[in-house]
Amino acid sequence: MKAAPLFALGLCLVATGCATSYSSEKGGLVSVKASPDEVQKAFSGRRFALLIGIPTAKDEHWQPLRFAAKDVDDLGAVLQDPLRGRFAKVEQLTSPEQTTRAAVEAAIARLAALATQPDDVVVLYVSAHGTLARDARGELERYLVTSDADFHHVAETALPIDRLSSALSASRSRRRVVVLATCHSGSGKSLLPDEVMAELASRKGGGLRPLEEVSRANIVLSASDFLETAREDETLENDVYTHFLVEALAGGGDRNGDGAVTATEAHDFARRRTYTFSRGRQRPAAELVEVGADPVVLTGDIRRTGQPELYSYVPRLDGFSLRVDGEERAELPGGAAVGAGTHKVELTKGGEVLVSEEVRLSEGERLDVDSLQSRHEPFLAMTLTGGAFGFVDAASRQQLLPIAPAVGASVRFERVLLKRITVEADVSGFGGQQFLTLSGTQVPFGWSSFLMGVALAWQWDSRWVSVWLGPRVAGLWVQRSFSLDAYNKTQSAFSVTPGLLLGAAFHFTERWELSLGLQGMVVAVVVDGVTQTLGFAGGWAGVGYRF
Amino acid sequence: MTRLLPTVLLMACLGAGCGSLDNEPLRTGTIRGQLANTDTSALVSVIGHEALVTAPDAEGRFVLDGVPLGPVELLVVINLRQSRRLSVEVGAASIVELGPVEPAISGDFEIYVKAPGGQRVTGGSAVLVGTPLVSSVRPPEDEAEFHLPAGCYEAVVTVPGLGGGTVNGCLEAGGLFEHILQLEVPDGSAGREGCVVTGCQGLLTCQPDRSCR
Repeated sequence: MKAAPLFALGLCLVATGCATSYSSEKGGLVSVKASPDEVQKAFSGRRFALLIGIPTAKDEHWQPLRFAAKDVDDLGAVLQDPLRGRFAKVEQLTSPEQTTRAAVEAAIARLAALATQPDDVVVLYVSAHGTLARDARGELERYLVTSDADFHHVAETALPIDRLSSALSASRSRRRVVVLATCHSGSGKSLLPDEVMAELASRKGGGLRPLEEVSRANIVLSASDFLETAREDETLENDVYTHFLVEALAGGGDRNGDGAVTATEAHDFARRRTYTFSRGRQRPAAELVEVGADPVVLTGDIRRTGQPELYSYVPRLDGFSLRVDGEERAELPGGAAVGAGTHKVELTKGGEVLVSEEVRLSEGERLDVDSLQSRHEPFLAMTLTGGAFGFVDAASRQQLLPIAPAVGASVRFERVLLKRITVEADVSGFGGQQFLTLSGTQVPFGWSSFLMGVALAWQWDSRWVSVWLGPRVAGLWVQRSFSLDAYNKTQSAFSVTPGLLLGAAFHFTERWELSLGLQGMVVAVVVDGVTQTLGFAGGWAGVGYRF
Repeated sequence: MTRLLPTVLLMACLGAGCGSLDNEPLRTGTIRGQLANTDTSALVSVIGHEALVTAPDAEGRFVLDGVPLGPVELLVVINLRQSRRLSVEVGAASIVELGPVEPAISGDFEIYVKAPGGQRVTGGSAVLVGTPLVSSVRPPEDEAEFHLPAGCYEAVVTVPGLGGGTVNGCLEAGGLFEHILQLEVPDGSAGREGCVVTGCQGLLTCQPDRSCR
């Protein structure tokens, strides 16, 4: 994952939908402090929006949506409001002719072409039915029910959801916002073919790729969790989530009071109210991939330095509560604004306190609380090792040094520079008596060796296992002592050896681990006056403690 | 890969300059001994290694350096009547002390060399394979002989202009091994010119048709 430009993001909102939006690989927000002028200047790009409401489909299997067109109108109004959104262009499509599959794809292409600068903000919003079907490869995919979609031929006639974001990725904008007001649960704003319903019932919700895996948007905000129902509401006269989203964009979502409503502020506002309004049956979710200082300002202007904000959208903190100075302020994913100063920040879940830390925050500062959690993760492992080393070829093992035991220690620094980069340093050595075999004759000798290496490795982690692999450079020193009738001397050789390290650790407790390592090296050593390049390999096992 | 390889080699070279592991001193050993009965013409050699030969000093002491590891066989020839073969195990950089070496009675390993058509054999020699021993083919019977301890031997006979041959045979202590080697004159050699070039054995004379009668 490369460091994102300050404002690179995309946003995917499933305002009334039921699609899942969780992934496994997410980075955290970084704390950034900037003056209002600097921030405003950075957000000075133009804003464009394409709002699509598809209230009816020609196939009567899908019941008409009462408020899809009104959702578009209400959202369009706030985005075009000269005091709020000030979007340069807002295109609204709601008629059957405007919302066929071909027409929608053409409109998205037009929207993508409008943005000519990376700072331009592009918003695509769709309020419509969603459904699931198998694509040409036989994989279950999400589809947007366009006005010309056929209930019995969904894959051929409806629009794949992932094509929306992929089409928008052609835009030069780095602030792409995709709002999908669809649902794929089979209830609410979704209707599924019988065979798909049967399959979903048997799967109990699993099997579909999360939206963010098929979307190139950097932020995925979901109106409801997978297979939850998203609804329109008679009293609100809107899709529920869209209603509160519009309310947020109208100014209610300005959490930090800086005068602007950003994408995540708007979502957090709408999420909380949707959850409350639906009495917990609809849980909007959020996922951020790479974000600088909340990059997409949807309405308003940043007129002053905002209050400090604490937030997180990483999946592993879903369901945790953010407590500030003992008071619960937000449920993650989400965020809260606090006053400048020093605060006691806690992440809790069911009485368990994951993080408790004093944090000093100043005006305009935004802090991803995931970074606090990360500070508590072990980053250093010290291991005592035992193993064996030897030359790869049999001739060298017979004539230079047989396989030799070794004891030592290693230190592993995790997340060095990058999240997956690990540096491991190790030392090992041993000594004893062995026999060479020369012309079938056993030759007794004493030996000692010392091996010291440093590896730069790429590390993969799961809860219980870590595996790392990377290049390694080591210094190998070998000494042989002979005490024979006609030869009583000591020989030694030293070589710098490039090689590879493959390591694995099994975390059997939070701090203790069993580790294994394999090392392969290329040793250049002078034997009888001739330099030979030989393979040298070793393996070790050890017990380590992580700090 | 093409960039990686030079890097690997460079680093390998950098590391290779420090120290060395030498096995050469470990690949041979030394044999020491003393002949119980010596002679000025005595010699001690390692069978199979013609260059490993030494002459005992006046007291019969001898030292053989650079003897290869493992089992070797010593050939000790003291004089025409006394000799000995000894099996010795040589360790790496070891010194094997044989102590006094008692001689045994030698046998005679005799080779009679015969050329075709009664031609005279001149300047021939026999080499005992794996030893430094060489014997001339001497008249009047064109005989080469070795005085050796019991054992099996191979001799290679060479006669200028008349070719040569190989003789294998085994001796018992004090025994006699005799072999007549009939030479087959190779094409293009001087022997093909007949007795005009080589002469004739004994009382035979070279006839105009180049045969000896």
